[in-house]
Amino acid sequence: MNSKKTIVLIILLLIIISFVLTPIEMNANGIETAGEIIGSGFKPSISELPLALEAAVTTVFYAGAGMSIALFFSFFLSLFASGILTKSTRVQNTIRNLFAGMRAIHELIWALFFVTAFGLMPMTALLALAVPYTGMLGKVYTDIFSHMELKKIKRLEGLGATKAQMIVYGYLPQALPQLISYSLYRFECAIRSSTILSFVGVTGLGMKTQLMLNDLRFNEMFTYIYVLFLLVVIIEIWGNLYRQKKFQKGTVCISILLLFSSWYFILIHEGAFYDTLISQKNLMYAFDFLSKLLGFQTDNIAFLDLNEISHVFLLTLKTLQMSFVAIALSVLFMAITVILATKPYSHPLVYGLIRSVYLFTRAIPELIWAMILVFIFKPGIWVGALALAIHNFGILSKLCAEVIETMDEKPLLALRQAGAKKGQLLIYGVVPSVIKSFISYSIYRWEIILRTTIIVGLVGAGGLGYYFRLNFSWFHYSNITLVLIFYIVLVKLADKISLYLNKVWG
Amino acid sequence: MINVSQLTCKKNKIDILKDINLSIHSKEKIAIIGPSGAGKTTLMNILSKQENDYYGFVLIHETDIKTYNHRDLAHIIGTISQDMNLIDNLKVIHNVLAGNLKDWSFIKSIYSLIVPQEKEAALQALSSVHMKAHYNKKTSNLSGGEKQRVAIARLLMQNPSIVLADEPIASLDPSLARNSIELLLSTTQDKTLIMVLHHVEYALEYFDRVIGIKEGKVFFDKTANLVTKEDLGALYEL
Repeated sequence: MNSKKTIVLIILLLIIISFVLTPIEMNANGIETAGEIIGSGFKPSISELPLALEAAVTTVFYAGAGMSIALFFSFFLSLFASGILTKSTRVQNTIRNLFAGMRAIHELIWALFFVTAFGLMPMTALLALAVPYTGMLGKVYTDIFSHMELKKIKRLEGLGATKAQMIVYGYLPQALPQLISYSLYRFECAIRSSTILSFVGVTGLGMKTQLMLNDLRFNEMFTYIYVLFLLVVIIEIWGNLYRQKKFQKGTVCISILLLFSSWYFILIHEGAFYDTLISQKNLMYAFDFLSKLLGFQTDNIAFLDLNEISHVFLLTLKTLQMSFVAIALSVLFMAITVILATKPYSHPLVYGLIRSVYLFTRAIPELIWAMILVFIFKPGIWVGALALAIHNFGILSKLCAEVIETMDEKPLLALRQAGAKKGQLLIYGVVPSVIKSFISYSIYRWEIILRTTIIVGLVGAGGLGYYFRLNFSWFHYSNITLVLIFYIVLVKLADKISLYLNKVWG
Repeated sequence: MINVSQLTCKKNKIDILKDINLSIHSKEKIAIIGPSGAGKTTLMNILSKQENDYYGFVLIHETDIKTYNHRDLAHIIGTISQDMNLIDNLKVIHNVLAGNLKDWSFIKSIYSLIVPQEKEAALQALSSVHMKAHYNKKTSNLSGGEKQRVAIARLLMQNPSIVLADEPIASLDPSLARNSIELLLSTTQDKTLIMVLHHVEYALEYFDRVIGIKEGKVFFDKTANLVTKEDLGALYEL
């Protein structure tokens, strides 16, 4: 009990220090710009809609093609990682570690690497999507395959089935609903990822949003943002229908259609057919880039320079600070709104409104929130923290609202029969019952926020990300390696801390 | 005290209860028995105002139950069931003090979670169910039998004049079940107790009056020592 109190105190202290060290500085005409941006949100440009839909098609097809590569590799690799196709634990662990490495690095960082190594072309963008998504899908597919009911499948072995037949008749039918359900959720994420690849020059919704923002054409910008929102809503509805078993054949048909049209679009329309990702010239570039990352052909090797190391260490602390402010704001916004986002405790209108806000804030990637916010606030930790907070607030709140909506009602009914009013039901019944799940979701989101701090840093939100981007522009590749080393240590540390915290509250 | 007249309850056009008439006096100890699906739980739900879709009248202290709001009704009727329905993540003392919520303001309820209010009364309720030593424990760490006793302590804290117990011992093992019934009876001496039971022997052994319900009707309503083997055989179609 005492250790819990100490941990809570330490966390509170860290959050307070982080807030104190994070000044909120507006741009000279920040308030006016904020007003203008918010006002434009109510008046999106209708004439921009055809172009926005065209951009949406590009975004969806990039996401579709990238996902299809990830699906292919993650599926086959997870059959090995879960021990179905191999008994060797060494092979299983190697693939699991490969998955972990692939997903530890954000798609945008992969994109920067691939673009630097191979140049900007459709295939590099697809690769940047496919690598981290193979890691994410692979991990979950492996978990699904590893936790299956084996009795019936073993019976097939007794009937003389080969490994391939066992997969087709045993493993797949049992695992497919879960695999598809998770993949649909990841497809929604892939749409967001495909959007933010605009940062390395991929066309589509993100690129257009960025262009409109830079031209201060906020009304047009919102047209693109709303189309992105709509895309996410459609995929969410699709996922829900599938989970309710109402749209299973349709899901298969649409997926196949999406697969073929995505590849047709990428290969023919975007000209990827003529891409030569692996040419001698590209391999030379890639080798050159890699050797510079490792400090060869470099005068001042950053990761051997104490000054640089201490500088990056300070930036790492700034990044941590950004993550604390972000998660604190997310949890605060969530705590204020979550009850109004649950059917039993809210008015239907308020419920609908708040759930729409959740959906909107999470549909828009943190990078785009950060791009918008730098028009209002001076670049720095606050912008990154706020952008991360807005995006994660939507996700965290949705998860928490669902915990309340699905909790066991009987103890609440008993309290009501003992005479408790609604407010008392909340503090005696709902809060104690859901607090554990809330804490565990918050820890989980903090971990994800920490991974993403580097991304919002790229657009001027400070911390490791900003330094990362500057060094990319200056071709200081050994500095990039140094940042990556600190970043990976940070991510690993967050992993350990969240495991520990979950154990304490578990 | 409780008067039920011409009570009929239908669900999906099927009669769950048919023309029930009962008169229950203050401090009576009544067991309700009958086969599964006879309508016992529906009757209890109507008496605790959880079920409001019925024909006929239910009068509590000569007032229609439908006119009570839930806070006023909590002063008169308390319930206990096999699921105990405690809040697992609260400490035992707070679960017991929840019996006071009907009289507390919102602010006092919050304050009590920090500094327990009326702690002495709660401890007394706990000691009458032999659970005083556990007051500071988390409820999720208790066994099923212990939770049952905490639920009884909460009921004592609530202090209603009528206690409705719907199969409170169904999830307990036999030795605990007997203890639990004895505890409920001893702690509700000054109250009316109506208990739905699956165990006929307990009903006959511990209760003054036994009501047999079958196919939604009162099959018999007798003092325990007048219930015959034939009555029970016909009730359960043995």
